[in-house]
Amino acid sequence: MNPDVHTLTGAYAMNALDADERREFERHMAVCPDCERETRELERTAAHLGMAAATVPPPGLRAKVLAEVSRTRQQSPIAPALPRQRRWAVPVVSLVAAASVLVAVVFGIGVLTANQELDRERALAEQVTAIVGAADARTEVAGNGKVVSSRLLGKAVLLASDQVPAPRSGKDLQAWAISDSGVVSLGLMARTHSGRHAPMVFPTTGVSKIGVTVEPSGGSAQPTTTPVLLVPVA
Amino acid sequence: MRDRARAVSQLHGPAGVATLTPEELVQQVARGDEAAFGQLYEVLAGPIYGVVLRVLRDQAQSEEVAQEVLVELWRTATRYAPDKGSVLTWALTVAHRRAVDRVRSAQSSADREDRAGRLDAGRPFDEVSEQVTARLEREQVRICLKALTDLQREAVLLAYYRGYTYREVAELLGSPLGTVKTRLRDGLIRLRDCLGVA
Repeated sequence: MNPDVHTLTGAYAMNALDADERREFERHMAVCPDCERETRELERTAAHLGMAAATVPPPGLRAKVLAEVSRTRQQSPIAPALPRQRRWAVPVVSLVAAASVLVAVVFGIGVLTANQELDRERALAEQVTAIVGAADARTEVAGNGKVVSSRLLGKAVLLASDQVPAPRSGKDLQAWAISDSGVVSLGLMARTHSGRHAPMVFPTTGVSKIGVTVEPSGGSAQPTTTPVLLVPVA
Repeated sequence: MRDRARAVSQLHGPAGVATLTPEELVQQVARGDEAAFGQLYEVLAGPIYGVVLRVLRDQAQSEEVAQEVLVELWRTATRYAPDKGSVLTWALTVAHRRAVDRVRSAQSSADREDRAGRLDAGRPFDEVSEQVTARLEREQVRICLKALTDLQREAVLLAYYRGYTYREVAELLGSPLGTVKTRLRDGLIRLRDCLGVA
């Protein structure tokens, strides 16, 4: 996406985008708190244009609406948290088993590589195991991304599945921590020696979502493309 | 906006209706309170019907769409997020979007081009000004619209009150796409500052 996507805030607030552009802008807004803030303000402004058009509704409308309302079910509130007992009742054994399977899957087995690299991957694997095995570990999955987080440890790990294509030459995958105060780079996504996306461990403080974008080699100061992954942090 | 909502409800609804703010009413509606929805109707029906009518310019269709919007607000009150805007902003955003969806699906592009061809770029402002009926909002919006450049004003009015995409607006005004995109944004920003939208 080109950088002037930011200028679409006005068109978006007035519903002046077609469906495709609208979706694209919404994806961009998810990693651009400034765009979202401006869009909300402009929606409030556009609402004044709507208010200026207020007029007395037809007399029959009220009865029709109230009749339909009385036979229309309301939606359940968004994203109910997992019931407490379910969250805590997962046997520790299965978590540890899950962790070791995960580590085996992520890192591959039996491939010889430089000791240093293996050490680094082992150290990372230990952190990942700690997070996945934490008593309060919670998992969020969105698209091809998964974030397992532990508020007790104050850490989370981002896992990108093989479905996320490796960046073409001259490009890198860059991860971003998204919070109310803005978007902060978590650095470039590394590859394991077996060629998979390496897990990325990050502090959870204030972070509501993790995004991954394709950026020019070496990374960017702020995301410049639509995220290939956007996963909430539980 | 909240004060205006009260004012509008007092204009259009029975006396004494506006004892609760729309936000408080939505909280009750979210718990399935149909009586609270009846009160919310008094606050929102006028603005919703008004904006839909402005875009669709057809009373029967507008009544239908306004009904859909109000029932949608009932259904989704459980998910209303106060941090994204007031109840009035939420209601008008939904109403405008539904009206725009309807106008885009209902009319063939040929129709729209024909309609567009009849539009004199200089006229929408006057037309809108004459049709506007909500006194409180109208005067302020009128004054603030005058503070925009001609291109900003025309772009904003065509997009908001006629439901054109910015591409269509660019064609109508014979301006480059990028210019129209920018004018929609800086026009709204100027309106925002003039109206004192926080």
